[in-house]
Amino acid sequence: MICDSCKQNPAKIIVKKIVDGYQSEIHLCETCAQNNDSSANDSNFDITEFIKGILNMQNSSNSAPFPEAYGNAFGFGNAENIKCPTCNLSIGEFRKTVKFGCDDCYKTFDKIIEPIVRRMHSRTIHTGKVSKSAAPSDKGTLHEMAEIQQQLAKAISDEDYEQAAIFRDKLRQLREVSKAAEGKSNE
Amino acid sequence: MSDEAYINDIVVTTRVRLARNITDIPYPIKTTDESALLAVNKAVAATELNPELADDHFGFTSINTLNELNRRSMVERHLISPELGKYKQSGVIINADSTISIMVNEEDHIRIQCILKGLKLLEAYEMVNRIDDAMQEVIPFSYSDKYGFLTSCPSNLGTGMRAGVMVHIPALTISNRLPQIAGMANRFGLAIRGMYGEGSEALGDLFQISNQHSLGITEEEIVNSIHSISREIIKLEREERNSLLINQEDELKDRIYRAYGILTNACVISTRESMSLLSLMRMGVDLGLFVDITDAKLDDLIIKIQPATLALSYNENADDRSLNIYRASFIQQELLN
Ligand SMILES: [Zn+2]
Ligand SMILES: [Zn+2]
Repeated sequence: MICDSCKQNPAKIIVKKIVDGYQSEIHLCETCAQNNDSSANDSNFDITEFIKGILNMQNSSNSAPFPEAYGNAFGFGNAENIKCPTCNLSIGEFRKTVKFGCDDCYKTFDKIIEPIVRRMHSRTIHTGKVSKSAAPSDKGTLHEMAEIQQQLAKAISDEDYEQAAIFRDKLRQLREVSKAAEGKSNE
Repeated sequence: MSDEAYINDIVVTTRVRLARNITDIPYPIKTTDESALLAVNKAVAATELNPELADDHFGFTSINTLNELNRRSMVERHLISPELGKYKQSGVIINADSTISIMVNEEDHIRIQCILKGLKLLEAYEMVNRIDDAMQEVIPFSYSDKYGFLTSCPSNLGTGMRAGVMVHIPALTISNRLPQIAGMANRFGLAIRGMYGEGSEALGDLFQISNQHSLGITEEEIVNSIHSISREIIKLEREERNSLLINQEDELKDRIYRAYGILTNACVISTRESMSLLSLMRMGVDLGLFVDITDAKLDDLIIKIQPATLALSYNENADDRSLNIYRASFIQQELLN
């Protein structure tokens, strides 16, 4: 499926909203979803529907947005039944309350969190105060990614799509780097 | 009028809060009796018993020890949220002058909040930040490099910070310019909602403006954006008051003096009616129509006439009718003395 907004990138996120009592669906790529201001400021937006949208995509194998991730993390069963091993919270529960049950939920449900976080904050990487208890680690990549996310958002709002494409590619590269680093630290 | 009073007539209070969780304890929605108690003990150890915070004279109150009226009065005074008590072992840790309140086991283990009068975003942030630092010396908070401080609801991730101002904007309300203000807030990434009352109504023309995003934005950026919109709203409200004075001076004064007339003569009055009349009077004070009364006095009065707080100062078993009668005489006494 192709993004309804840019008509170029593959759509990865379904935004469902209710307007005047009718439900409508918009399919967006990550970049467009991040910059989909009209829906970001839409008070009718229903986060629980959004989460359901993400889950539905994970269950349909041919259009799975993160096939490798979900193949590994969730298998091909019903994602609603996945539970956090520490606090026992299920995705179904999360959908109802939009509250996680413990720190480990952020690891268990890692793959669905990013689109939700992006939808809520338009950003995905913390740039504020650093915790005193944070283990000293290489935060260089994350910081760089946060900065580029901001530049990307600005390029798009300035309608400078050439620059935006450069930032988008840079972001992809860095994402790979940070994934690789994460893999190493987990070994 | 001093520069501070000049701003405080429109920005009534500033509020900043930080959401934090303690590592290795399930969040309140998934807690057990044992782990909830552990969270309380750690929070108390990091505040009341923390030598670094000795001067703040923090004290813990368990929600279970409060009767319903006391709990509701604390909600009215913005010391706790209406949701506190929904989860196990909840309570609040408050400092000596009640400017800082730390809710324990609300939606997150810890919610550090500071409320100051007037436009004091930086001061309020520095106060909660100092408490946060001191608490982190004693207990580790849940944190990830990517998402920042971990919170039960992902809408609070990152800084865990919500900052806001309560503004009194009667002239903008009279002139139906609220949609414009809401649009402006939206462009800043801020949310605006009525401070009292339900749904879309805003009793007393009091509105809360606060940040919607807490992640991918620094504390300084949050403070700056709220500061900018506050200055903008002060300007717009003032312009609107001036234009009302120029075009409808008699009508405006008539409304304000009638409000004063009712407040000082009524025998029975509801919270709702008192608040809309006090709002008009407050604008009258700002326009110099009442020389003996200050904004601060009216702000204080607005809190004192809320149902639970008023009942505590009168009779804990009072029904609505006797409370409305008492409220009328209470307001008269406060305004005429
Ligand atoms: Zn797109
Ligand atoms: Zn969990």
